[in-house]
Order: sequence, then structure tokens, then C-alpha cells
Amino acid sequence: MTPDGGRRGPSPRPPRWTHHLRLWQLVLPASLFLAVYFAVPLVMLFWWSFHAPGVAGLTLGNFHKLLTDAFFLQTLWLSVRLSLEVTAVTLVLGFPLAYLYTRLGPVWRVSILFITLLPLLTSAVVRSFAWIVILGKQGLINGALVASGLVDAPVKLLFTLDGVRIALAQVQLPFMLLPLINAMEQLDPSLETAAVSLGASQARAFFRVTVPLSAPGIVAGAILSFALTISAFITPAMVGGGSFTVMPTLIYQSAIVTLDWTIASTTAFILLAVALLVVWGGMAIARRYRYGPAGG
Amino acid sequence: MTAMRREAAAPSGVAGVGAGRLRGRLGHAAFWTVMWALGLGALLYLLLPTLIIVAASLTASDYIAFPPHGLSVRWFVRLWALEEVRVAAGRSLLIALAATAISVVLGVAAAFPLVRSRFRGREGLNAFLMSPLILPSLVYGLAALMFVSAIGVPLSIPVLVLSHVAVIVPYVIRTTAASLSLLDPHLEEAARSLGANAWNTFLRVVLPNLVPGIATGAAFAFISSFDNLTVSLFLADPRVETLPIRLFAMINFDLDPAAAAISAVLVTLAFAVVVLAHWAIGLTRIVRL
Repeated sequence: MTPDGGRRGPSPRPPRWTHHLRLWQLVLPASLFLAVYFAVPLVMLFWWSFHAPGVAGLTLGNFHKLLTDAFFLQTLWLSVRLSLEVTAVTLVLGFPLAYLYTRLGPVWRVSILFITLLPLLTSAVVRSFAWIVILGKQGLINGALVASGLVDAPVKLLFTLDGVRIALAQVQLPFMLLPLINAMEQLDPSLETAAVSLGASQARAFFRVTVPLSAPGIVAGAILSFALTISAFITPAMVGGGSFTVMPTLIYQSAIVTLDWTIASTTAFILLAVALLVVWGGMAIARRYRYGPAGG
Repeated sequence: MTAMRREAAAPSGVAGVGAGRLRGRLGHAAFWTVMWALGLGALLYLLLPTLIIVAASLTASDYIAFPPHGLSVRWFVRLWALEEVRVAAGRSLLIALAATAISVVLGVAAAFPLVRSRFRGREGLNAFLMSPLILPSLVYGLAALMFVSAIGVPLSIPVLVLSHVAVIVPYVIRTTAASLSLLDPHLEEAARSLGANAWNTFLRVVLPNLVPGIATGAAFAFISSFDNLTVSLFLADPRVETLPIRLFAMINFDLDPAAAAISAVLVTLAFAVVVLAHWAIGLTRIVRL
């Protein structure tokens, strides 16, 4: 037996540096960077929201001040309501398109994805600008309404809540579509076929089989759409034109205009808390669906 | 289609079945009409702003009009004369290129252990590295501004670049990790057993297969940085405008066709990124990332 006998094997001796460097260490640069430049700033933001000028130690004073302020509560409620409405619109428009996607051939599929991804990768400033042009007094919508004789004078859409709803739903639609497509693609279309062949109408099969089975995609899309709408700053600022205030406007104004970082960070904290609450609620619903009606 | 097959198989001649069949066929047609109407409506809705803004940029008039009054590229020519726009565009390009380069280095390195190693807390770490995609960028912009001023660093282009990196690095990690998880590990084993060392295996076997994924992630990262407004609003020195900040100011001031021309350029850039992504990975696979 040679001293080398135990070493015979297919794999050659690994290069020396691998003794010191393990593969998992490659994750360190990105993790450390995000820890310092992403996590620490967020912790600081939370820290700020529990401090008030002239008060030693931690305080809930900022939260008390905001949550008893009528204007703040009105803004918070408007943001939540707007986000729920926009999410509902994206679901109603997104679900049929995602459904068609799963029933169509490759050319249609690529076209649908192309049209979905193009706005997603276009700057929100550009899309909001386009909506300003479309919703204006001489814009496309008013032009069509007046020409068709439905209205006598142009309807005010720009700088109104309705205009913001229309623009925001377009901005958020891709975020609803992608999770929906992802979830529905994994469904077996023959389940719906089976329901139809057992006597259900096409609509009944759709609502009783396809929709419940798509619940994970609906929840994922709704969470994403809600979280992004409630934190959207650009579209409400541009299409709303300062005619009303939502939570992100409040954060921006107190941080940049009035330079009150305490209020800005407390508002940001409350915004994140509301968004997280909705995410948790959504996930709880998703779990119920998985183990509840569809599973049982 | 399926309903027709069912009817062909069903026994005919009973009156009740005939009425049911008619109702079924009508319901079937109504169902698909509604689906197609909503689906095509959604497609048009998604596409409309892009079409409008490109059309509006081609106007010959001095104001924004739709449909455009006469076709001309004069507003694109005019962009070149607007020095503020030119400077802002150059600055945004520089910031986006630097932020993308840093993100590719950090992101590609991080993707390997996330896919190939098994260590405790891997799932949690993955969630942490993806979290900038979910956190509202407005909140991050505010937090980063507080952080930078707390450590006493003045606002500058490098500070802005690093804040962009934090927001865009998840794209690179995600697409690289997805390409890597699709790569057959036997390929690497084969290279190693044929005598290639670890570096050669990585450079000649693994990396070439990851180029499409890395390129797509880098393109997404680049355009996210180039278009970023919310983080830059907080972290850009007021005298140092980026292109989105300039565009935002232009539109809030006046509906200038030059702003439509800038928008059309940004749309073209987005178009190029989607085409690249389709060519490199395929859009139907990107959805599953």
C-alpha cells in the first residue's frame, strides 16, 4: 500500500485557494452592502419615528399626534381606499387577459407579455405624462366623448381622483398580470373541460373551478398591486396635480418641503405598517384557500 | 370547442336536451365574448399611453396635440439644443452604467451560493436580498437620505449611484440565479473530470451559459436606474439633476412637446430592453422568474 493509496479518485486536488474561500462567502459582498446601505437606513427611519425633538428616550408621541389628526386620517383612508379600488380594477381586467393567455398559442402569448412588460419598463413619469395628455380637456377621451355626442362639454378628468384611478390602474396592471399568468399557467385546463363535460356551463366552470384554483395568483397579484399603489408617488402627484393628498405625497412634503423628518419617518412607518397588514391578511386568506374550500 | 365535442357525443332527439344545448351554446358564446372584450380591452389599455406619447412627440406644432398636427422630428432635433436636457441625460447615463456595473459584480457573485450551496439561513438571506424590490422606493429614498446625513456624507453622484445599486441589485441576483438553477450540474462535473480546474470550469463552461441571464438582469437594472425618480428626488443634490428629475420638472411646468420627445426616447429604451430579454431568455420564461 502506497501512502498515496487512499487518495485515488476521479477528482483532482482542489486549488489551494478553495481551502480558505468557501462558495457561500461569495454572498457576503452583496449582503454586507445591503445590510449597511439598505437595512441600517431603514432601522434609522424607524428609530426616528419613535423620537421627538425635546423628548428624551423613546416616545409614541409622533404616532399619537398623527393618528389623532383629522387631515392625516383622511389622507390615510383615501390612500387605502384608492389602493383597494385600483387593485379591484386591475383584477377585473387582468384576470380575463391572464385566462386568455393560458388558452392561446405561442404568438399570442409573446405578444401579451410584450405589451405587459413594455409599460412595466417605461418610466412612471412618462406613463403619467401620457395620461395627462389623454385625460386633458382636449385629450383623447374628451375628444371621443364630445365627438360621439355623449357629453356636450369636456368632462374634467385631469387633476381629479377619477383621472388618478384610471392612470394608476394602468400603471399597476402589469404587477397583477404577471403573478396571475404565473399561477394560472400551472393549472390543468382539462379540469375546466371536465366540469363542462359533466354539465356545468362554461361560465359556471370558470367561476367554480378556474377562479378558486387561481387563488394563489390572485392573492399574490393583489398584494403586489395594493402595496405598490399605496406607495405610488409619481402618478398621484402628476395626474392628481396637487388636488388631493395621499400618503406618499405627505412623506415627500414633510421630508423635502417642510423638512420635518420626524413626521416624514412616522408617516413612512405607518404606510409600511398598513401595507404589511394587508400582505399578512392576504397570505392568511391564501392559506385558508389552500386548506379550506379548494382543499376540502 | 369542448362544448361542441360534448354535444356531438350526447344523444339527441329529446326536446329538453335540445333547449339545454341551445342555452349552453349561447352561454358559451357569451362567456367567450366577455372574456375577449375584457382581455382585448386590457391590452389596449396597457398599450394606449405608449402609443399616445410616441405619436405626440412627432407633432409639428408648438404644443402637445393628439392626433399630432403634422408629422415632424423637429422636437427630437430640438432636444439636442436643450443643454439642461443633454447634461441631465449624460449624467443619468453615467449613474446608470456605474450602478449596473457594481450590481452585476455583487449580484452574480451572490447568485452562486444562493443556488449551489446549502447553508443555514439561505432562504432568509434570499428574501433579504430580494426585499428592495418590495419596499416602496420612496421610503427607501427617505431612509437613505437620513442615513447619509447622519454619517455626515455630503450628497454627491457616488452616493446616488450606491443608492441606485441597493434598489437594482435584486434584478441581477434573480435572473442570474434563475439561469444557474436551469444549468445542469453534470456539465460542470464533466468539465472537472476531463481535467479542467475550478477557474477554467467557471470561465469556460458555467459563465458562457449564464450570459443571457446576466445580460437580462443587467438590462432591467440599467433601465430601473436610468428611469429612477423617487430615490433620486431625495438623494440628488438640487443642482445636480438627473434626466427623470428634469423631465418631471418640465412636465409640471408646461406641456412641452420636447418632454414628449424625451418620453419617446425612454419608451424606445424600454422597447430595446424587452426585445433583449426576449432574445436572450424568452419572455415566456421571464414570467416564471
